[in-house]
Amino acid sequence: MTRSFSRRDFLKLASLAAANVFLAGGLAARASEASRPNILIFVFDTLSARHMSLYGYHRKTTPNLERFAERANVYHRHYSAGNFTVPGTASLLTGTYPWTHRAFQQSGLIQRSLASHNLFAAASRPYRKTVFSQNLWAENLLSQFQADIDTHLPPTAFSQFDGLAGDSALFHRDKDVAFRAYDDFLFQKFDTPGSLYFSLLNKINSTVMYNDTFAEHAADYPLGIPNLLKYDVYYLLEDIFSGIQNQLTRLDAPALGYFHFFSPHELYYPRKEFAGRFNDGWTPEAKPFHPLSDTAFQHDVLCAYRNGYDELIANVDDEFGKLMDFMQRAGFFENSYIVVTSDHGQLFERGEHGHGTALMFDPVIHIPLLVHAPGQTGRNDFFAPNSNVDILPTLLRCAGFEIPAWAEGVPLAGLGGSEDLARPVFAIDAKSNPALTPLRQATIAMIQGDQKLIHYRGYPGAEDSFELYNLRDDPEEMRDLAADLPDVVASMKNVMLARLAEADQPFTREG
Amino acid sequence: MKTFNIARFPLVEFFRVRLPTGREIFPVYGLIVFIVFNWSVVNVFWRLPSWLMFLSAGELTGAISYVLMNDLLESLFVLVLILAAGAALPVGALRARFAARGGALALFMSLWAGTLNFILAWDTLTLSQLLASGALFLFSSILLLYIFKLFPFLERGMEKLCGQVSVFVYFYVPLGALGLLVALVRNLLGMGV
Repeated sequence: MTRSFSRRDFLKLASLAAANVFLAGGLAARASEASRPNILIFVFDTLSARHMSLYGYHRKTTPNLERFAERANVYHRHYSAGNFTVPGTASLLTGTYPWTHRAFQQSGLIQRSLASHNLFAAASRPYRKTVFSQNLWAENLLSQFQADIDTHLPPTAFSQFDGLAGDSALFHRDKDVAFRAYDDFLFQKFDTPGSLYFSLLNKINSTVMYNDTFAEHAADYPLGIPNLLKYDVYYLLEDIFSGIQNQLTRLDAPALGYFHFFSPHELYYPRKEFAGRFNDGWTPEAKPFHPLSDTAFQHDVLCAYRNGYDELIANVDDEFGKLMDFMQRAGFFENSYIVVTSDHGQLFERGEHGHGTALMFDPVIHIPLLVHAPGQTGRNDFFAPNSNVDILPTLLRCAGFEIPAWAEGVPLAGLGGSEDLARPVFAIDAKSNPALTPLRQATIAMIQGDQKLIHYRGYPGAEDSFELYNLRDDPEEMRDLAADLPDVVASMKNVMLARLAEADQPFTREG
Repeated sequence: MKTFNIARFPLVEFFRVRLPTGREIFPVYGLIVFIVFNWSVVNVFWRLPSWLMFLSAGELTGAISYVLMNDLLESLFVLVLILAAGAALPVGALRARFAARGGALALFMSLWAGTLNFILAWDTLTLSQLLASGALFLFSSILLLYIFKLFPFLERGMEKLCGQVSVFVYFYVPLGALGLLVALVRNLLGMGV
């Protein structure tokens, strides 16, 4: 006898079917989410492409990055949009030039109305965003994007100790302004502090803590404990990398991770294995002082600084090699875009040691860029100029998002874009300008093909002057061709000034 | 019936004997306030053009509030140090003529702190060097107090100076209290979150 199919049976079957559809849809959604690639961005502060053996530097500073490059897209002419952390990092994270995001002052911030124009907001769900920056100026920028970030590690994470007042538990609900008041002013280093007495107590406390730490690690770090220079945060390089490695194991896929390491920023305190490695007697060609050089270091002093910097790069590269090996074992190379870059470079020439000055020569804006795509097993090299404003649109496209209209960059060649030698890229230093007024004093570099035009604007004694270099024939930028090639200057100048006028327009009276 | 008299507690008696009166403390605190707050104010004016470039009005107000709060706490800290010195030293050393000698000590402390800050802005000192400078300051302070004792005109001049600048208490201390209030509100309300 067959059992009849009742209304109750139908309802039971219908509900089971609905549950299965829902469950399958949920699993599919999770599978779809999980199939999106992770995006991991590693930024090494102050790393200049000109000091990397990967890019032809004769000192073997980056053997591990060369290993990484064997399965990555390598961009040989990648430029930061700024010559110090604030504009360089802001351009990387917003996909816009400094004259747009307006973060071009020391310790400056992105224009408030544009703070939502950032990589973390644009790479919306299902991405889970984790950020970490040792550099406190980059940390200020990341704080502007706090609403778009899921996990925000403090800059002192993985450090030995810190003397930051703004980071204290007392001010954790107003840490950015407290940092500005205390660590950037009341207790500031390298300038007269705003506090007469408590700053001294802070310095004594830091000195005591440093002595204890140095006593413990002097054998491994004979030159000193690495620190954040302007701020009392002391760390061991291996601790930072192992901390980040540990953090990678906690990421929820698909993850967007931004990790900004302070080294190889000065002070140059590498581990003992690397200290003295490049005391090889080599000295580069001396270059004449530039009228706008901030300092007047002699050539031998610059060479000594250069040696320390190269040694620290080698140390950082060694640690990256271990991180890379870990990522390989953990499978990140199969399911992640891995980006290695910098926020700006470093100068050891023309009397200048450092970055963030009025000079825009190649070593301070020419930075590395390597991008490994999921499953990539070979190397691709690209030689057309590109900018770090291109990183945001590239990663968004790779992650399956639309490129927002406000982004000024374009997808990189090999990752959705193509090489375009005619496209100009820019780098801007305008740190003496208020954020919301037209740029009156600035250095603007424009790279187009092999040509590089540098415009010095508003400097006493150098108002509206231009320099022109051919980077293929004269990579050391020793021969200013501006007087010899006025037509080239005029053509490039028109493009540059038109872009500047367009960027300044909202801040003019008429705008 | 016994009445409660707090003055009979030994600890209170100890401090009553060793601490100056409020009328003597006030001008010394005035000099401390004048020095501590003006040090910050001058430095704020150096920093202000830079802050105005990129800080919003709220952030600027917040930062200056923290500065004022810090100055208020710092001035009270220095006062407590000088009062503690007065309580610890023999009465004739500091407690007597407190307005003059306390003021001299406050001025000397600020000169030492200011000099050390200028040195540390561009150089680093080891812990032993810092401690040595502290010891030098202590020794010099004792010498200073002795010199003041020897020359009454110095004491009269210092009393006059403290009296003149004590008016700044009425200006800076309320500002410091306001800064403290703003800082508390910012943190309680989570302004930065």
